[in-house]
Amino acid sequence: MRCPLGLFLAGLLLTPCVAVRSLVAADPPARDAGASPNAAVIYWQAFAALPTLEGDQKARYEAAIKSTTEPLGDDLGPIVARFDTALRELHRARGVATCDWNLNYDNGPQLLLPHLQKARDLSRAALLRARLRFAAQATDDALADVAAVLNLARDCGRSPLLISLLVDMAIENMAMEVLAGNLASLSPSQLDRLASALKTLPATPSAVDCMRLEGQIFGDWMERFIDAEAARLNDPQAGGKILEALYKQTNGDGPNDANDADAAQRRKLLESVTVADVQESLRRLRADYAEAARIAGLPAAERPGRWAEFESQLAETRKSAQREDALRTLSLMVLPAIAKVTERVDQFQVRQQLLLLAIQVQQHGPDTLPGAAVPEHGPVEYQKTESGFELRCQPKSAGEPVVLRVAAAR
Amino acid sequence: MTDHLINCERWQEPISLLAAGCLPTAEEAEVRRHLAGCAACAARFTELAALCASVSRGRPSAAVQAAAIRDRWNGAALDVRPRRPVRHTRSLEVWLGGALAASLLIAALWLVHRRPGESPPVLREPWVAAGGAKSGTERAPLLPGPPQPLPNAPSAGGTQPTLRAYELALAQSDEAFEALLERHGESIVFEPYNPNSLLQESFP
Repeated sequence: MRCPLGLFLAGLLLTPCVAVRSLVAADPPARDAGASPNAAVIYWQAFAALPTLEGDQKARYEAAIKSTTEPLGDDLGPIVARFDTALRELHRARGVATCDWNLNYDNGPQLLLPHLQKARDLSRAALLRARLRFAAQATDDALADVAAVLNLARDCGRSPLLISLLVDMAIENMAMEVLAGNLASLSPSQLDRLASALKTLPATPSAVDCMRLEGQIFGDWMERFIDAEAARLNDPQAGGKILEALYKQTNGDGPNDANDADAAQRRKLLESVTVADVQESLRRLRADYAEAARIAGLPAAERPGRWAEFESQLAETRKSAQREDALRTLSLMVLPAIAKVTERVDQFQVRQQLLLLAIQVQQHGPDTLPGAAVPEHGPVEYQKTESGFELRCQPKSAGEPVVLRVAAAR
Repeated sequence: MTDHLINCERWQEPISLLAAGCLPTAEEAEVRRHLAGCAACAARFTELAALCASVSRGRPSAAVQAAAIRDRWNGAALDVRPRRPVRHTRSLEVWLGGALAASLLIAALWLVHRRPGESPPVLREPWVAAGGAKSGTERAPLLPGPPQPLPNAPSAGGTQPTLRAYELALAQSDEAFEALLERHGESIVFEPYNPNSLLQESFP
């Protein structure tokens, strides 16, 4: 074999491996990435180390994680020990500030979020071990487990997506319940450390941030989809076909018309829309996302009224036969249940404040509470109970009051 | 040079492969023994290894521009051909030229994509300011292509729910959302870690 051919072969072997990969891959070259630690990579190692429980162990484990307050039996120790490797990785990730799940936002509505449920599974195991440690008076270790869970929750919530935000809040709610059940067993210095740890958790995006990003990634994805379909069909009148294809991609099997009249109207609409109409509908979808983000950013007291107004306006367009209203079809198709999420955010923020106030009660007694209120929401009520005490506050945007039950010392 | 090429002809290919990191381990020791005793081949190997390292690092120095690579390839070819008349067919020459041009084009595209002096790409997760008030998204350096239709959207493949599937479930009910999360978690299964079986598979 000749020298140039050898060189050429080496080049040919290298270029697909390096140059082409560089063109298509989202990741930076491995050599550079190695220098910047990423908690997400460590979390995935923890997920991979989660044991698969079976039979009796599985049943006992699932019964134990159903509640965060029920007393635990000693027989859970060996089961929880099987999570040691995974939990060691969880703690290792806690020491890493950067967390990038490398989500492919270009996939828009088809974005995958495989880490979220794994994060919940790992959190449940860590909180179960924390409860066992609290019960065994190993409070420092128990607090470390809870802190690692809170960190994981925030790392999930770093992606500005409503679903990530919901999972973050769900995990933090579980952790807060465990803490509330065990505050009485903590020393004054532990309470101090806990309060400051809670106040310095990594920041997460707000619901407004999430709506803005989702509006952008859904809009950009749809724009590419519409352009590609329009080019393929090469017919300016084929807007209906594009809408149908889009519906299939975003909502699955096809539109669920409430009745025959709705179905007939939708068919008529699909026959008449042009590609330009679909593009206009996309422009309005982006505008509706922006409006939803604006409403999400309103004070809690104003928000419910504005949501109701916005949603009823949108619902009206479903019944209307006017072209203007028909152009809101993409908004009807994909706008998420944002009111539900913002309600959860309010409840969560109130619960966070109640936990901080509960720590204050634990440190200095209930006499420090009168006049306490959760900003934007309302006053906090203290009530002594048989098992300890509870704090209650009514969020401005949610129907049910938030109640934090704090257990007395065992 | 001519003598060296005649005497060391059989070593040129393995040396190129070694420089590219593609030589089977079993053959490496023999090649390295030859390099230890042949200054010309050792110099050739050093040159090739430096070139391969520059390309594979993904951050080319100013010295490794597309033109430099092209000149290097062409120079190497011109340098050798007159001294070693070869009995290759015309079609082989055309094929080699075409393939070389293609690989150079890919390398040039890559160099354009990775501008010299550019800092390494930052993590793509949207950045959130302290307090969570602002966020932005690092866009992919190249525009993504048109979305690929999925057969079972919004739950691609039926096992991996998408963001859209989660939002639909959330709109339906809390229970539906919860159930989808649980189902999703169960669908991602890691094989139990077994170092012995890994070793057996890697080195049967």
